[in-house]
Amino acid sequence: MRSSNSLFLIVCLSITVGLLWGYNEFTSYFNQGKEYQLQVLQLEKKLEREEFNQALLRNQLVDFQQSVAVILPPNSQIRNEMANYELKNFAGSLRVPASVAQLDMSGVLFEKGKKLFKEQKYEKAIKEFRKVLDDYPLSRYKIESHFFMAESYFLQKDYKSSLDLVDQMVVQYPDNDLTGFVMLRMGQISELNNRLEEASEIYKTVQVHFKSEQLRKQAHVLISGLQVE
Amino acid sequence: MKSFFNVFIFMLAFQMEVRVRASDSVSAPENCLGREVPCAYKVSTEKWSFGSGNIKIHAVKGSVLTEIEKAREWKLVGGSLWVENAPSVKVRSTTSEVEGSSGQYWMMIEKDRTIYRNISAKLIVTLKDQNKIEVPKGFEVWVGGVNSESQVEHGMVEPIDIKAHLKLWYSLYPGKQPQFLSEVQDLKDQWADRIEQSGEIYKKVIERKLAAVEDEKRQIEEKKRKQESERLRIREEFRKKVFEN
Repeated sequence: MRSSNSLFLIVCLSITVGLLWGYNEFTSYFNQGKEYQLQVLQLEKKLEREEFNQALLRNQLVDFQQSVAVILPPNSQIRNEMANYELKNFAGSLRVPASVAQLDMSGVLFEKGKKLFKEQKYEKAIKEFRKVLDDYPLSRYKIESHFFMAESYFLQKDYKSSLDLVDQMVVQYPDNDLTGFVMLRMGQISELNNRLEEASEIYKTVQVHFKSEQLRKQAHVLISGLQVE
Repeated sequence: MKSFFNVFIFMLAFQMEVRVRASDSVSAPENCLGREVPCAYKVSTEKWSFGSGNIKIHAVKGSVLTEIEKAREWKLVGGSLWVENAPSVKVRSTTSEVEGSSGQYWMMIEKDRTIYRNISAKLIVTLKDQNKIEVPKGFEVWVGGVNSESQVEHGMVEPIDIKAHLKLWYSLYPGKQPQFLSEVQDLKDQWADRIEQSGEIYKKVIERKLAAVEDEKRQIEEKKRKQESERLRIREEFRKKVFEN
């Protein structure tokens, strides 16, 4: 009785082990992609680590370069002699060109932008006007650049960006006539969105707050247009 | 019977798949964060926060930081860092460093420039050439590399473009949306007069530049005057020697 029991157990165990082995073989045959996925994951990790190490090394190098660059005498004080030739080259390679006495090129950029605007190349025009605003924050073309950018966005039907610029102009240059003109555009955008009351309010604000006769006339025409509708 | 059972367990053990999951963070030395300094660390999660006492620092995914001195000095290698509150904590970049009083400020590395954005701290940026820039609340400034005049390039102090900043801020904000909105509103109210302030700052800068130009002119004229009087004196002496002796 006892021997038959153990025989039964041995058979059961053998079947279980056989099934497990079979299952393992089956899954490993059909799941080969998983191994590759694992490998890809490991390689990605390795790449990330390499990039991280490189970033640290680059940063240390730049740090060192800048520390040396600040100790060296200014380029203008290094005399033009053979003995100083290496020093001059060394200083030049470590430093960025001086922009202390920067040339004001905002006029050129602005004219370029205006030309592109007239040619209806609004995307390119916006880039030029953006350069004026970013690189020359004190330029006398700043307000006009804002204005033309808002106009370009409006004509491109990118109303959201246009409204952002109108917002900026209202805050920064509330008295300028160009702000009045972009506010009329703001009103037109409200009209396009069927917010007629809002548009009317904007036109009235322009009519009341701005002194330019041309602006007032234009605002008046737009209000009349609203009433006719 | 027992031996069969042992064989069964032995074979079962071979069927088991043991996988060891690699650590998510990348750091140098390995797993150093919070254990040793200096420790360089790359943020691999969506956001990362550090808190110790009254110090609260957050960084966006992909930022690389080095903790140089335990909870006292950090270096930003890349990415963006939000210092929510860190009195007497120093944060460095390759060409500048900053030590803010309690209050919030941001530090971002974009290409070769470091941008300092002051929200509510008293922020003084010390450049590698030892010049200092004070960034008022609601303003930002960029700092570049050392130029050919041995000076660190930097931009004008400008008002923060709040719309562009909100997205970045919200990505790291730990609280709920209504709380965030109320904080934004508070800031908007506090920064209402920034345009006038920036006008004042620009005016001061221009006045300083004009004064420097005037001073230079005055020095040149003084030098010319001295040269002229020296020339007249020598001429006079020469005349005396030749004609009077």
